[in-house]
Amino acid sequence: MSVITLQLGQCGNQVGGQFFTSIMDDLHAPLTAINMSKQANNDYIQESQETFFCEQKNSSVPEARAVMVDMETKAISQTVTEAKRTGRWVYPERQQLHQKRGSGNNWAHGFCLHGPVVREAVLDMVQREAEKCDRLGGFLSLLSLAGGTGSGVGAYVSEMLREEFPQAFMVNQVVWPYRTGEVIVQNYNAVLTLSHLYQTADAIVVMENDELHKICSQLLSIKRIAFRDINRVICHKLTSFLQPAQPVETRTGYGKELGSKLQLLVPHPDHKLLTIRNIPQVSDRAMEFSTFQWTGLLKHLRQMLIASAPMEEGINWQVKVEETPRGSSRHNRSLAASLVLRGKDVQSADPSIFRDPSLYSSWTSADIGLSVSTQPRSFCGYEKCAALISNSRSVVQPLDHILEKAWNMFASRAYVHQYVKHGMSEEDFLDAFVTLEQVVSSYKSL
Amino acid sequence: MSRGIQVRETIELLCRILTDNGASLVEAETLRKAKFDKPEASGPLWQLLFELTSFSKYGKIASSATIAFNKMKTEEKVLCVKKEMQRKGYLSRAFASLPPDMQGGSRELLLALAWLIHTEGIIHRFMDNRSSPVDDDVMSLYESVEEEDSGDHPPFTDKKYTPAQRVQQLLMLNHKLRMKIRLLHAAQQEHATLTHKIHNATYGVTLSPGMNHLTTMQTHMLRHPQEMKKVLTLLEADSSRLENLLQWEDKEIVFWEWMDSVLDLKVQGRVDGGDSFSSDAEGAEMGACAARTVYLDVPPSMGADIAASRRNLMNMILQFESAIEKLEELWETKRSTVSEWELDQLLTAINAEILQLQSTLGREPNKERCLTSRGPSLALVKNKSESRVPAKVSNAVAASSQSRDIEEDTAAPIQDEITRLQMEAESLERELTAMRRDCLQRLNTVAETDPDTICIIPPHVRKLCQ
Repeated sequence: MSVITLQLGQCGNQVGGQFFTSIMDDLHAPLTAINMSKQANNDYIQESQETFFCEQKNSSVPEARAVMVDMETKAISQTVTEAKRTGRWVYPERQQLHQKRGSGNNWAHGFCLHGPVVREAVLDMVQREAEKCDRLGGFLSLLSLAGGTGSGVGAYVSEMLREEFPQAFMVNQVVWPYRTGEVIVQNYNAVLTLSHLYQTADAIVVMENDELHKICSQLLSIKRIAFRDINRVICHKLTSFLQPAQPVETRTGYGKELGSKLQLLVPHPDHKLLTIRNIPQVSDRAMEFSTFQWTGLLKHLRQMLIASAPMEEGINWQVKVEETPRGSSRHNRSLAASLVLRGKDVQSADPSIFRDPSLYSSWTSADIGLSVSTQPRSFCGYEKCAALISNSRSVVQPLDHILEKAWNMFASRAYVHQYVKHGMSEEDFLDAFVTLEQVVSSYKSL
Repeated sequence: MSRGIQVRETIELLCRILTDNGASLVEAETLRKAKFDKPEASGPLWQLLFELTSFSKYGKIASSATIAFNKMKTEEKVLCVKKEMQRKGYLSRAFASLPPDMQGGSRELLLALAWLIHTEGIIHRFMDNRSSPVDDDVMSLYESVEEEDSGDHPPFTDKKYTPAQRVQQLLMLNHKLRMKIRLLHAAQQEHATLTHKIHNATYGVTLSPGMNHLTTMQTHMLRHPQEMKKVLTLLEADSSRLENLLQWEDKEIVFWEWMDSVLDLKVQGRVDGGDSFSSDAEGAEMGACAARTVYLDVPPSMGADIAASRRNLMNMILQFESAIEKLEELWETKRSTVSEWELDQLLTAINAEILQLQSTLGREPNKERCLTSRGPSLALVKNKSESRVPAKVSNAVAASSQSRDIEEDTAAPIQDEITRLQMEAESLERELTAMRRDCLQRLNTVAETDPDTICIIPPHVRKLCQ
């Protein structure tokens, strides 16, 4: 199974570069650190490499299955050179598209102007990539919501891919802007992108800059946080989800494809937003002195889920799983969740606390909602680590926030002329608002 | 005594054939005991009847049938079998009155079994079941696919859910199903890509005539020669099955003669034992024990309907009696005057007309056969036709259709199929857009009439219908 990555916009390209580097770091971890036999390790490496990389004919360095799109040249060339510098992998040639002038943080500029222009070229590159695969598992698009290229061109490219590959699975990983972000129209861009992506993508993985920043500062003790550190956290989360792991319920290879994971996580067409919570996340210095037990890790993870906390510090332990007298619940309810456990003694970990039916919406149950996968190979230097990908209500809060801000701006028609002059109309804005309001209400009713 | 030995061998052959083809194990002794109406032979015979009726209904004896059989209670089993037999037309009163607790009556069961084997041509259907282990698409049997014991209760049946919740559940299940279909689609594409790779890689080497490369099966065998043993055992089992069937063709006459003797015994028993099941005059006496003999689903007014139809028919006959007599006279005169030669002419004219009609009906039945036919492989060519038309005509028709089959090129019909399917797909698409537009209009009118509702149309749907 192969996953083709699309890196859209400056943020998307940087995250993409870091993504492949993280995978390579994981695969090249020394045998002593990973708690596995050589044969099993080779199987793991082969499986992971087959998914994200492609063997080159005349060199041993594998090529990433990636297509890069940006309207400026800087980000792409930087990422490509960095990749070559690691010596472990490269980007395939002629799979990059860049232009000179950029999109000026304007969604309409990206969607209406740049999109149709680059359509043929991008489609060509994607099809070339798809032909190299034996089995196309799906597409992973990396983009940010605030800018112009990633969001505008990204939305256009998603629609184009959906038309060309109607049966393929599409996961979009979106980077949510800071609440006090620098781009004035980031809320417009976010609202427009999300509403368009909701129609075409199968799943949207949300990573909020604010939360990632907190993780970097509090857990990883990084003094001066740059985008590079944030990207590393993003990729850590993504790889802990996407690297091979054996689903517990089925003994054969079935269930490892991206599509099977998705049909468990996003079974309902109205609920497509996913969040990833990791535990533990410690800085390199603290790693030597920390040991963990599965029970403790899972308990913390569960409380993180219930209290909608993004990390294991500052969890509100007061929030309990119970119904208030009027029937609503204060804790965070999910539609579906996927638990990935990696590390030593993974068989002894007991995920039954996640099977509590009150953690899930009233009309679904843990039998359908929860899937557990295990992988005995240690991951990223952590002896034991767990990741919980959930489709739950906690994602509504930032969405609400953005909608409110965007609506306030729209009510006074601020900056709307910038968008209208590139070919959009106010109706498109209204459509976007309406779609997202529907999403919010369906999540609130979970 | 050699006669007796022959009989024994034939019965054992029959038992072997039945076991080879999936029925449960029956000993020859059981059948012999059944001839003499021994009670211990009934149980296995009921099971055998059940399996054979399900075979003739579904085409194979599935393991699920055996499981279902074991789960059912005795009365249910008896009911099921009786119903099936009556549906096929075995209207023996004696069989229908067999006790529901499977005690006794084994001779009746034996007779019913023989009737079923003969009428449904079960042995011939066994022969049609081709299951050669070197067939290409049986490859999947070699992968050790463990069966997932997914929970055998469907989800969402335990609690009570409100309609709103039900709607959400249905939406969810529907979407999940679509995703799984997409997974299937991807798997099928992968299958095609990999098969293509194998065929490309083995271009120029071939083990079967007519192909230019090795099949997937053959490549797998070449790579894993240690699996030859498994294949050999399977092949041996298959060939012994076929041998048994071949022997049956020769020896079945002995079996039927033996069945004659069983029937004689039964008639004799009836004469000696005195009219237990004979006439309707004793129906009142039998009312208590032979309570129910009809197991078909007949509407309760059937008796009255039959009587009414009978009256109708008699009236009609009386009405048209004179006309019928005249027709018969005419037929007689014609028959004596028309010569042999004229008959032949008539027959050839009818033949030609039938051929013409067949060709104009479109070659669809032949085409389907061409598309699904495998390459050179074992095939039993049946010469029996199902119609009651005189032998000369049917043979001529059968021969001509067969020759057309073999001569036809497979490429042409496939192309026609493709264009036909494409046109069908386009017309379906048009229908779909028309229906979508219609539904949207109706939604809009509903929204307009009710002042409290707004209709919000997702943009991609609006785009589709513009």
